[in-house]
Amino acid sequence: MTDTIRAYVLMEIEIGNTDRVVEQLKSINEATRVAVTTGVYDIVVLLEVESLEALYEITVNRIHKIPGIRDTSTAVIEKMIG
Amino acid sequence: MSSVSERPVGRRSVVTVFYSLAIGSGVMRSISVTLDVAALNTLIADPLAFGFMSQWTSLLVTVLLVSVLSLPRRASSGSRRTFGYSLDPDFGRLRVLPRRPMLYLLASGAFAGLSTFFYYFLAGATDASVVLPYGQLVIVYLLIGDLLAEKDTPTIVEIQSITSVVIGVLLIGVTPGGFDLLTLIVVVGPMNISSALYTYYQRVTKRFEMSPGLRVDSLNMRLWTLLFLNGFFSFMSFFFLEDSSWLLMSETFSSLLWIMVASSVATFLSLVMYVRALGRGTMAVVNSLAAVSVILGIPTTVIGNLVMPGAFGSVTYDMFLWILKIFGVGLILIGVVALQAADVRSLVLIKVRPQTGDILPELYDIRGVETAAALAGSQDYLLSIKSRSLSKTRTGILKKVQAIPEVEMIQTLVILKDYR
Repeated sequence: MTDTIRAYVLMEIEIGNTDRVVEQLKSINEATRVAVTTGVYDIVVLLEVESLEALYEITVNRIHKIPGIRDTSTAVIEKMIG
Repeated sequence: MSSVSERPVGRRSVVTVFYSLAIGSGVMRSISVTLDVAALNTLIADPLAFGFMSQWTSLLVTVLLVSVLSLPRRASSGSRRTFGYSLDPDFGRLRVLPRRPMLYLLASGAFAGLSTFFYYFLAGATDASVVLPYGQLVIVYLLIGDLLAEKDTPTIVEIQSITSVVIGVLLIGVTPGGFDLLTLIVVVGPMNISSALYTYYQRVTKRFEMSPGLRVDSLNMRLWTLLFLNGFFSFMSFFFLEDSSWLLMSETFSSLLWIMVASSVATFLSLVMYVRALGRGTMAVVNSLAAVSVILGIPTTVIGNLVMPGAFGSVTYDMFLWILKIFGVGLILIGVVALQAADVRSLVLIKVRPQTGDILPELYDIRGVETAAALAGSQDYLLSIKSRSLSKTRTGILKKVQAIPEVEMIQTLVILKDYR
């Protein structure tokens, strides 16, 4: 049993804004991995937070307010190996 | 301790941090070796006695350094962190590690002790400058070890890389008299096998996750490895140290102290960077990048000789040999970095059919899968995978995921840039 909740945030970015969004995401302390990708999503972020409330705060009040993000999908990790 | 406030994403890309750490480790190692050579050239002629004193001094210096680095400071973000955080974000304070990583470090320390013993033993019988380059052959062992771990069929690029590294190492080790066969056999045999196993256990320890997102820190790893190393090294040395060696140690200790402390600090920084690099990349690449220490020995020796003429050895012999050595390092770097550059990382999103059980272990068992996560939401699983090429991503990994009957749909996101 741990006190940490991990979640992936999958993002679609407006064209031309990827680098700016990445810089903003890197300033979030709870973001432990930021990956720029090709495919259906443009950026994938791994968040590590203390509670679901903290996850809400970061996604709604930090990530959703970053200009250039078109859409996000947050997936809480139930179990992780590796 | 929560990993939340302790482990934010880095400000630089994974690749930049990895290369900086590996090359930085080589720079620090060259400074450390140069100082050791100066001590052996000027103050003490018994390498094993010097090694004995140097290793225990190094432990004391490391305990002091890690204690100081455990002191808290207030970060600009307002959170309290230790000074050691700047060297390794996983570091909290000097501590006893959990049982499993401690056992890994015990094994690592034993092999490092064996390798260190052979190094000092050979340094007494031959020129240390011959031993060090042959030691770089450990890269080939690690390269083959990486391939075996991936259970993959070697590609032509991989075979070319191994060949390039072997030729590079032989070029680095060339001397005016040809190859020192006896030294080569000892280094290629017990010394390098021990080094390869040491590297393997260091990597396993660094990748051990104590709590989600928080791995074993390289500072505590260095401290505990050194303690175990010294135990094994000292045990073997007792059989070879004579009465005169102990007398020599007591006579030269005070005059050697400053040089041993300086060498210890350089070694500490070198190994902290080395271990951190190991946590991020393959063993062979880290070692090949750190191999720049062979060439960096030239400027550090020249600068050292300006301060203390003659104490740091000579680099004035045949410049043609040095050109061959530079070619050798170039071949090693090209061979292994080309292999690393071919790596492709991807994230794979998976949806499964309704009423499917847990397939997380099955997904994680597919070779090339680094992490596997079960998700709540529209996607069911996310895999983080690594392969040698896009083609191998498809044939080696994705086809195996698709072959699982419960998998309904997969989406692959190829990673262009990664910050961790």
